[in-house]
Amino acid sequence: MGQMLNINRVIALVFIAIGIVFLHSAKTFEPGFLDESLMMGPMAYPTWLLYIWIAVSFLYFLGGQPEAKTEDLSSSAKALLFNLFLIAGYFFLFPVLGLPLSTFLFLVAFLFFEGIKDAKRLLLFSFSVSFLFWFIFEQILKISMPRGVLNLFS
Amino acid sequence: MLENILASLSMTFTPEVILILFIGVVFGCIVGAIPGLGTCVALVVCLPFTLKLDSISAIALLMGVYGSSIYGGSISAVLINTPGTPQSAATGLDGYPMARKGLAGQALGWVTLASIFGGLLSCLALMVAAPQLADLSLKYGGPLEICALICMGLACISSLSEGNQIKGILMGLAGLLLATIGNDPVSGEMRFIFNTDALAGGISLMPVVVGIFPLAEVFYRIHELRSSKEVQPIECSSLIFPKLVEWKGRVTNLVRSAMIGIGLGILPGVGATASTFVSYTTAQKFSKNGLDFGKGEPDGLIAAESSNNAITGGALIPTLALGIPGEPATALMLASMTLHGIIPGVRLMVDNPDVVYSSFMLLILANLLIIPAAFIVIRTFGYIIKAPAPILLGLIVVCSLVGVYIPSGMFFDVPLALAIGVMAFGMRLYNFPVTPLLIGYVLGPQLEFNLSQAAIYRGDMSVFSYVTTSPLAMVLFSIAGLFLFLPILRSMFLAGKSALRAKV
Repeated sequence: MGQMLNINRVIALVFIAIGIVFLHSAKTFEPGFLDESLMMGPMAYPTWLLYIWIAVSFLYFLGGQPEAKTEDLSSSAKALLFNLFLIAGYFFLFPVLGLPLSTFLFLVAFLFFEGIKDAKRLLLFSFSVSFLFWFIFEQILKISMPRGVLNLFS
Repeated sequence: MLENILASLSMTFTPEVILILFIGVVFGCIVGAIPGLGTCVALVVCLPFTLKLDSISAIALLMGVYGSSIYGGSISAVLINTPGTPQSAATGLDGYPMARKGLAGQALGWVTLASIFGGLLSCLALMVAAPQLADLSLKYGGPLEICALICMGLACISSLSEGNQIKGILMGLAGLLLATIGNDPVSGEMRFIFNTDALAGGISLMPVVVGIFPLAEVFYRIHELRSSKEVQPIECSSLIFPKLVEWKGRVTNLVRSAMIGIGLGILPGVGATASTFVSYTTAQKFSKNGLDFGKGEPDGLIAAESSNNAITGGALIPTLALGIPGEPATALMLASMTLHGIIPGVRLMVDNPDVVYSSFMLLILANLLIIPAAFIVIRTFGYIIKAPAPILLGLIVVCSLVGVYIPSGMFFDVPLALAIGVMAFGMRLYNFPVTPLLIGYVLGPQLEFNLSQAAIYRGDMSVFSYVTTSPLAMVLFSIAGLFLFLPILRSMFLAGKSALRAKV
């Protein structure tokens, strides 16, 4: 069973499952209106693609050998996971805290975790970048970015 | 053609455009010189800054980055023996030994002039060939022929995924499927939105490109940082250009290598790295100093550099004339144009001649601006390479967030980019090529639209008899078939051969 279900075959099964979910959505699709002049319905092309997708995924499953060379993540898994949460937190807090504040907090946390411990350098760099991005986009390019809690002070 | 060139000159030669182009060239050289980042990351990081610019200034920034990043990669190949971009791998073979002999300035001088020559010759080829190709495609291109052309572009996915064809094809299909989410381009019906209003307009370009290039790269670099060693650059503060007499006997090599770069650049899917090594080995065969290749021979540098920079113009020929990108950077250039309301495809030269001809001019200027940019980048290279990697990664994350948010102003795109980034990182770990996904995503809507048009033209005819009405479409479909199946057959043949060898 272990030999049968190597990582490539698991990926192939995931691809087949995705294909089936989409195919089900395509098959149960009800068009809002019927345009007689169109020779191809809105789901015709995606349906062909999905059949090909499932067929190629099946071929991939059949030929799926264990990966000869994979990256060893044991030394970096913790850092990757932490940084993933950090970036996700930054992306989700960006509308709440606004661009300058969320960028400052993200950079301080990210750089500290990645080994820059010099507090003066860390704070100066994070502040300069946050200010520069705010200045370039808000003041020079006149692109309105989320201000979040900073609105309370204006 | 002449009036288009004159019109584009007046649009291109403004102080604002030249300044933006120069900033693009310097930025391209710097990012290109940082190992692992490359042209695509540089282009994506620049995208948010182009959004408030007019289309010519935006293209100036992108052309500056595109035209100079490969050259930037050669600076690190010479000074730290680590090519900044894969295309510069052959440059390090002779550049680094020269630098170690204390001739770093001379090596960079050869690299700079050969790069500029290759880039300029490829611009000339682009200006001559692209309009002819576009004319031909408009003359003979109905929906069926355009479908065949797009299939040809898609079939290149197979050669872009050498040794991993099934994975490449799956990624290409994933890109095509991703493009079907949201509005149907013909009827406007909403598909695969799973009751999520934010998906009604489809998955926009920025979350896809930001996810698969810079964000995936950030995760990969975080992983690599735990195992990489620090590199010490060789000191070099100036460029020393070769004297005219030193070019004696080397001009043929320069021209031949540039021609190889242009020729292989036009062919989709061959890739700049492959063509650089083809030029390098050809030069080694023909050079009277062939035995010195790999020990610091300028002929090797000339071959590698004029070829890798000639790729830029060559690869733009099918991209601008036919809307078929053959490599990730041109796919990204094409996709970036859509952000500025420029629709890629065979009508690009007819509908936007100002943009296309300005692109030619900007690429020529970008190549010329490499010289002043090189002085800045080479002088500061020591600082650039010594800057802690986390600072750079943090900046890339911030640029990615801004780049995703600005075009649509939708928060939904931001976590979507992160999800695509995590998936792209996973794909990279399991050797799934991500470029086919981008090519499929860019070409998907055009393929569907033209298929739908072709279905109307077909009427009651069977598909086979309809295809046989157009010899051009038959030829193009056959070429697409060859592009798709030849690499697969080659891989199978090589696998069979090695299995046989293992048995013996």
